[in-house]
Amino acid sequence: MQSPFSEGGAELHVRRLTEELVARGVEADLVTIPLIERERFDLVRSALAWRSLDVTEFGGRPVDAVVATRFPSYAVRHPNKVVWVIHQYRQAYDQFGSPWSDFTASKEDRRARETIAEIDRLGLSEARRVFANSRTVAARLRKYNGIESEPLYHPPPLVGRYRTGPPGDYALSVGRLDGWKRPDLPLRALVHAPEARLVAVGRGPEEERLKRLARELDLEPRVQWVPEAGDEALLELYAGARLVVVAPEGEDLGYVPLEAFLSGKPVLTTDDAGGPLEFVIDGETGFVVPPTPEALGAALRLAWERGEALEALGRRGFARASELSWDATIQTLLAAAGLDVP
Amino acid sequence: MKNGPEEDDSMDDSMDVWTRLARESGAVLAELGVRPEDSGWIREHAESIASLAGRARPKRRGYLSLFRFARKAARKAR
Repeated sequence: MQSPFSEGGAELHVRRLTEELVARGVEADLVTIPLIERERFDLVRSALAWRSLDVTEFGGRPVDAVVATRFPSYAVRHPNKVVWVIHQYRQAYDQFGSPWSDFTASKEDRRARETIAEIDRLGLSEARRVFANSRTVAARLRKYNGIESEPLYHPPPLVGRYRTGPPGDYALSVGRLDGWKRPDLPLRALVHAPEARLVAVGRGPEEERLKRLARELDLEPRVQWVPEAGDEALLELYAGARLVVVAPEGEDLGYVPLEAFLSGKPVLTTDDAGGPLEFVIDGETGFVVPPTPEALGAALRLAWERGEALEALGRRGFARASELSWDATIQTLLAAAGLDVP
Repeated sequence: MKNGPEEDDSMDDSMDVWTRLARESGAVLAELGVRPEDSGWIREHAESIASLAGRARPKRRGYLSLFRFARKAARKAR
């Protein structure tokens, strides 16, 4: 499933997975169908499109297995289907009732939520094995769908290219400027950490509002906006950061903490962050604080006052993230599909 | 409703294909959790199939039969 004109972690994930399979001699290809979300029935239509596809063979050659990753691609039919859930349709589940979901209590929306749950149940229950990209996602699958899955981690997109560097003079924030990612939190935290600077990489619907907020809070001299960063620029920004701030609520996994660790940087995150908490341990690989500007600000102040402690935290994070490898991940996926690594 | 003979013939010639598509996709919709009472969705689906017949605005007669088939398939599959 693909979101046209946008490339987030999920798009990077499936592309990298395909590349890693091919690199190991597996004949693999990526199949995507755009996800249209103009109206509720579009979601059902997308599931219908996947369900109607016959991917058991192409050009007379059998397809041994499929690995599906996102709603509703796992509705695809195949006798040897493995699902590695990286995204459910969260607006229908944990985000329902929050500002991040536009589902209402209307009859059509209720039916749409029920149908989404049914699509998930159908697509996942018939899979040979279900993995989740984090414990957070696995817990959500258990809670909302009663489906057991096994967390399967993988390295971040630029693994092998991240480089370390001494603590710099800015906190780095990377991610789409979407409301649910709470990009305003690191910004507001600066009010409580007068020495700290912030470099914010990403763009999104909140961009203008955030820039306005920075002006209102008189933070402009201490904030640098980087709407887009290519791979090299991003690697450079990670390597030069003092620490990396991860502020979303209930993130599935999030590459940013892993990218920070592989760049030798500690991570400042919140105690409701979800996936990042599977890697960021307070006082060991970073800081975990309540989701308030004051708490984040206090941690930033500490990071600026006690710079010498940051390197030790970063080193431990580096060791943790270095444990993840595509070799192990691919082996697990292929074994689940009953296939050998070539 | 009476339609011109030429139009009727063309719809009749291709009706088997569209009927089959309506039946099969109706059954898949049911499998995905769509119920016969989700008539708005089934109507939209029938319209999509009817539009494949090459008409921007599907004829009422053909469309209604597709709707009927899709709904019937949805009911039967449950």
